[in-house]
Amino acid sequence: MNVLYANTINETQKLFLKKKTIALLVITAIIPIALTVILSIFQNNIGIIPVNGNQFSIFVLGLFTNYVLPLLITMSAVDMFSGEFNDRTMKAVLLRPISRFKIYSSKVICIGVYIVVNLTILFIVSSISGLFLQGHGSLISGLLHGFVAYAISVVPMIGIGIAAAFISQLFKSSSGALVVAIIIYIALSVISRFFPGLSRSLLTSYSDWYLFWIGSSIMIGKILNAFIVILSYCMILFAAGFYLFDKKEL
Amino acid sequence: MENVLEVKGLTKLYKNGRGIRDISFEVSKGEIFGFLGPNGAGKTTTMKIITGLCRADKGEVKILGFNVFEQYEKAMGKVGCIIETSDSYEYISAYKNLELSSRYYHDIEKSRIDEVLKLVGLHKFKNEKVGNFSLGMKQRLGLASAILSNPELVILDEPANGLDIEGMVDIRNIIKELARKEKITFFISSHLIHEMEITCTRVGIINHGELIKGGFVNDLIDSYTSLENYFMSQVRESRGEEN
Repeated sequence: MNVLYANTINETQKLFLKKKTIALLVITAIIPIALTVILSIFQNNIGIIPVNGNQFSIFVLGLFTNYVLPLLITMSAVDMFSGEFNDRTMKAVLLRPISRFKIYSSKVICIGVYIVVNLTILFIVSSISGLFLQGHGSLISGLLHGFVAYAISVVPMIGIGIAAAFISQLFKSSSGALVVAIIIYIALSVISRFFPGLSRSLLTSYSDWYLFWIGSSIMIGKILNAFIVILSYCMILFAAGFYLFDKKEL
Repeated sequence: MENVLEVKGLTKLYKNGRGIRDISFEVSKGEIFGFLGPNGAGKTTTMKIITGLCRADKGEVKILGFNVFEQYEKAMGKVGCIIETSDSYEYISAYKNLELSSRYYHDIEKSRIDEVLKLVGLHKFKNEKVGNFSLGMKQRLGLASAILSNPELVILDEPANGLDIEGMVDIRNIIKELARKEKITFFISSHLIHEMEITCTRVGIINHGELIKGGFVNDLIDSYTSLENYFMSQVRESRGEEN
């Protein structure tokens, strides 16, 4: 078996064999259901329709890509790097016939798998939950928009994952890495709100780039621009993260 | 005889001035080579550099002819190791741990996992989570993981750590059996001189980061009565004291 593939399988298995990962996936699935219940109460008792049923999955996606998913991704990235250095299990991989580049790459791929699993669960649960809300419109069109939005959201979330992997290399302690990553994320989000001019060059501003894809007309220029910014961040942070990972001594 | 491990001029100095200086030695096929020295002598640092966990300031390491610093995957392809402590994942079973390890190698059948678990006496605990294991059981699992791929060289750093007397005897017998039957070469570090005397075929003595001397255990016992006498004489000599 190719060692890159072998380690990707191993990293993915390790991640999904942790109780914490499964618990967080369950919570990910529960949040849209809980939101549906709350919104139904609004619709039935007050008569306000805050979110249409056919837009519910997009509403949930916005909530997750801006707030919840970056946190979950950072937690898993920190666990994979600082966590394994902390509990000394990183040696179990480093002492195998696999280069550090392949180890780093397979861990990043695993973060990608985690993102896809999260978004898939979220898409399925939020799409079904949306059916219980008023204001459906065209079901097929809603599902299609939702699918495109969820599928395309993988790209900026991978950028966040690579950034989290890079930050994990700067800390020996996993809690330190997690706290700093959260602070950086909040700071960048605040900066992009108060300084819109800067936001175009910040990775965190592209969490909701799916909006460029599902509008009445696809904004090719904005999509290309966003893609180049995300790709640039991915390349720079991947290279910087690998450099630090490669230099680490046990 | 064919050299399985060649170490030339290995040097690594830490900021506090400790480390290793100009370590050179070879380990031939089928040997059980012991790296004997007190705590802090530089045994683990040397082993970490050999296995790629640390970088050397100077020097060269070749395993089965492959340079560890330049051809890591090839060099480590036929090597199994335990460095410092066993490094298993505590939240999964012993069997699953070995299954994860097996994926890095070609042609390791599921039956091999059962075979090594039986060899180290953990087969009946194979489905238990490693987090519930004692230190000795974890060490045995580490040994099982090290020999899983039928390696040509096994590097063990303080393999008797955390083991009771029975555990030490078991591990020693496994090492000797594997060296005799399967011609596996062992490179073992320890500060337990008696253990090294009855396990190893040849030893090298390391102290204060320098490889002082060494030789075949049988020859040293013939000349000095015990490995302990030889060790003390070499340490005194290195300090410039008279025996």
